[in-house]
Amino acid sequence: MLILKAVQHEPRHGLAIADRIQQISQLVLRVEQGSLYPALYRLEAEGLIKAEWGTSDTNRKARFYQLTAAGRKRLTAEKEHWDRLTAAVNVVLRNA
Amino acid sequence: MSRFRSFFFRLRGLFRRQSAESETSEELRAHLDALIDRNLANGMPIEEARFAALRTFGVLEQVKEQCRDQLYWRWFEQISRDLRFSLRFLRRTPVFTVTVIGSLGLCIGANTALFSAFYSLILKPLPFPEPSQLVEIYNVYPKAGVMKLPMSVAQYLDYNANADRFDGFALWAPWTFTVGAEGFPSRLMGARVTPDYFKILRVQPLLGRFYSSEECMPGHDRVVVLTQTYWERHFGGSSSVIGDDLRIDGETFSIIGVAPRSLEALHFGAAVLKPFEWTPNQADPHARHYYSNAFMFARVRPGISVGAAAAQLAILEARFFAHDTSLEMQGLRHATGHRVALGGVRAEQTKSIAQGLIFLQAAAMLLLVIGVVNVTNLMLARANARRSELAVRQALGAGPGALSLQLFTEAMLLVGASAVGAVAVASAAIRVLNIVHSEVLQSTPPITLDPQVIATTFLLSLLIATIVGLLPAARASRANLSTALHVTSHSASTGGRTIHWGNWMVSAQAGLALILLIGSALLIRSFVNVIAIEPGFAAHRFLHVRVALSSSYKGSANVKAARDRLMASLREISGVEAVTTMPGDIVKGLFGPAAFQVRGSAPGVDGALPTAWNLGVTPEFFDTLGIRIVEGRGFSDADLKETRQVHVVDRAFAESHFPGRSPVGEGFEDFSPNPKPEQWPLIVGVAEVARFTGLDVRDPRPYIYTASSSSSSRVLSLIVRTNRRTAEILPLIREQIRRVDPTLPIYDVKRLDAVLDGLLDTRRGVMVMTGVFAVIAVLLAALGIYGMLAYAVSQRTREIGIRMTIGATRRDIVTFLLRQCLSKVGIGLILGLLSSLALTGYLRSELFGIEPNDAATFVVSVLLLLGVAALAIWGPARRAAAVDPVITLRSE
Repeated sequence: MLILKAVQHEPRHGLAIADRIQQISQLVLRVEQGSLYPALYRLEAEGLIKAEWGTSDTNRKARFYQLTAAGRKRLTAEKEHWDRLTAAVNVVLRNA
Repeated sequence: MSRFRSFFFRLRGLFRRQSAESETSEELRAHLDALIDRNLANGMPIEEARFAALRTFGVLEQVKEQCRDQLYWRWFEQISRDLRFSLRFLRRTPVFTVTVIGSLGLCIGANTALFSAFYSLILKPLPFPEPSQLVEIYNVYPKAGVMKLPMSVAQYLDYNANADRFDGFALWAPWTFTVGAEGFPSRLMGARVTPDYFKILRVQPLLGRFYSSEECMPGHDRVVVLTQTYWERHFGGSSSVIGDDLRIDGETFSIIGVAPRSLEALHFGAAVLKPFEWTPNQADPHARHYYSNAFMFARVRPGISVGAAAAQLAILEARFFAHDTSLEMQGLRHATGHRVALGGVRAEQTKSIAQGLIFLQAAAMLLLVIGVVNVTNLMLARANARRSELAVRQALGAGPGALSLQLFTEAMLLVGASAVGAVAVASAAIRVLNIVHSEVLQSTPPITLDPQVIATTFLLSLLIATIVGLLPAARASRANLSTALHVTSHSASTGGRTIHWGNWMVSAQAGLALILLIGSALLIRSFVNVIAIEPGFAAHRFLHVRVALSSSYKGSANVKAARDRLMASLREISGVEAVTTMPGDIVKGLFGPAAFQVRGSAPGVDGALPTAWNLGVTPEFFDTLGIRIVEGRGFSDADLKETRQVHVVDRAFAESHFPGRSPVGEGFEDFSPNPKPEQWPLIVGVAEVARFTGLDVRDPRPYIYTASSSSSSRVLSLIVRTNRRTAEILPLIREQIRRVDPTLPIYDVKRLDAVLDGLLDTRRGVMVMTGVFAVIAVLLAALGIYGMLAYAVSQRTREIGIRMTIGATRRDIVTFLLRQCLSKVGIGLILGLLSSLALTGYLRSELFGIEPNDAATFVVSVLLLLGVAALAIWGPARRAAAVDPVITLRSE
């Protein structure tokens, strides 16, 4: 879900996605950047994102990932699910 | 949806594996470079920048591996690697590969061929809607020993009007006729059928129409429907054939339609169908048991069981006897125990061979078990020999799963190749089976290799591959790495477990082979017993030729004149010693058993009468066939003019019914409607025994011959006795017949010994095939024993070397191996012997003149197998004895 969110607004390449995830998770989740790629390929296989070769801002060839329609739908669904879950957890925590 | 999509994504990935691989590398490389660039920009030295980037990124190869998992199925790659490896391995051991594929292919092929026959002839549903509702109905006269006789028109009319548990009845009668231009007449097979025949089979005409019931009236029946095969072969499948004329037996028939090929599944080889017509005489209710001349087919109404349908017919039959109280009909009912019987259409056609087929299928399965045991054994031995190789691969990181998969892949390859070979073996075998089939069963279509059967073969092969592959695989995955590496080839003696397994399999093979060997030996001895029986006449000297007079010969006087002319012209040929005619086939021909009552004797319990074959013969019959009259006299022309019936009985009859006295002058009770005193049928002579019903009739009935002129039939069977060879005399016979009348078709030319021999086809087929199976089984068992021992010897060279250094002689070594191996074979033989004692009882119906547990057969079979086993042991044992202890020990 984090990956989907990272490419929500514009096509991004791998390094940019890693940066973005680090940024939105405010450095809480520190993972090896390499493990990003299997996840990217899986999402691509499921048709949630698609990739194109392009040139990065540092003038290097890179694959740019962007959300497909199916990916967008999935993101919305997951977000709703997440919201409901956190709301429920909040209710439980508050009543405890 | 997304699972579906990812399936295609990965499928695509398989095909562009190379490019995907390089794309991934490039992408990851770019990511790393970008990270390094960033670190450099932050002012790190180049080396440190690279390390920091790698630290952030993770292990490059591991990431790549994980990516591959996402891009395509790695198991596919693994399997194709296993396949390549297995292929290379199998190529390197050609003897092993060929042995396995050959023996398995033969065993599976035998099963496929027989199952094809079984499926085609027994299991395969007929190509009509709801085939299970189709039945054949026939008359049974159990007390007279007649188990199947056709039905009559009277029964058909009665059932059609009164049996509402059926959707319809149809009559069918074979019809042979002559077509073709003058000088080239040919005799064809067809059928007379009622219009309901098409209705109950639920077939539609391919072209034109089928006939109506009005066209079944005599005089209106000059229409024919062609079968599709005949139409395509002789009219080129032309649709303009409808309305054309066809000359049949000198009369003109109009072609009104073409029947679809599905019809030929029931009556193969028929060319033309014409309406079944009948005379008022035949339709008379009282003629129910006089004109039994048609086969009856019916469709049982849906939801009604065959039993319930049969019960209704039984009620109708009982009603007939309640109405017709004539002495004759009551007598018939009492003496014969008449009833009607129902059977599945195809089951009735193939009844005579069903048991033989089931038996052969069982034998083929036994053979398959032996083959599988053999191959499993070989695979186990080989897996054992490869222990060091497998151990090395395991040490290099192959998991037990990967090794098992490798072994399993090999098994799959071997069995797959065998299955393909098996289909080839089967299709060749089916060609041979069909030659026999057309001799034994005339009206069923030839055996085909159906897709269903092929599918079954491959399923069976998959099962075999699982057995053959999994056993060694299971052993390989259990193998302990360190011990395997440790012992490798340096073991003093092989691991107890493998040897134990191998021995068990040697026993199993020997036992199973013995069962097959004993079975086939019993069948061969039965066959020898059968052909030792004398037919009672010199069958090889008789030629049977049939001619059909066309309808232009009107009246019995004309027919008799033509017959006399034909016989006279044949007698002119040099080398022809005698000629006679018969009303039908003399061998297994158109004569049936008849019930009789010796004058003055009482009928048996519940009115049952004894039965005998009753054969109408001409006065010159006994002379022509060389059947000796042992007492009294034969028939004369004067007998034909008398109103009183005269008979000749055979010696078997005289011995059983007139023990110790002469039957000449005695006679039979007269069953005719108004018996006149002094007109009772008289016995005038006793003839030597002759067998016209085949040689292997289990408890042969005696014969009663009746004097007959055989002049009424226009179809003449000429029996020619000659001292010349068939090939020499046949053209002369044809020429003489042509000289009398060039339009006469000549057909059914056969020597009587060939006819007698033909009756043994089913028995011979079962015997030959079981024999072939037994030979293969014994060879496989020998191969198994040889392979096992050869392997054991090669593994135990060092042990033998040590034994010899501490004092064992060569003789000791050979005796030691021989004793060890023969004891295993012996256990198998004992088990096989016990199983045979239990199983051969099922063979009883196929045996002739020999008991199922014939001691001599059992002993000879056991000795034969022991001999073969000893031969198989000989080679490896000699090699063991040739071991030079010094060389062996030094080489270690």
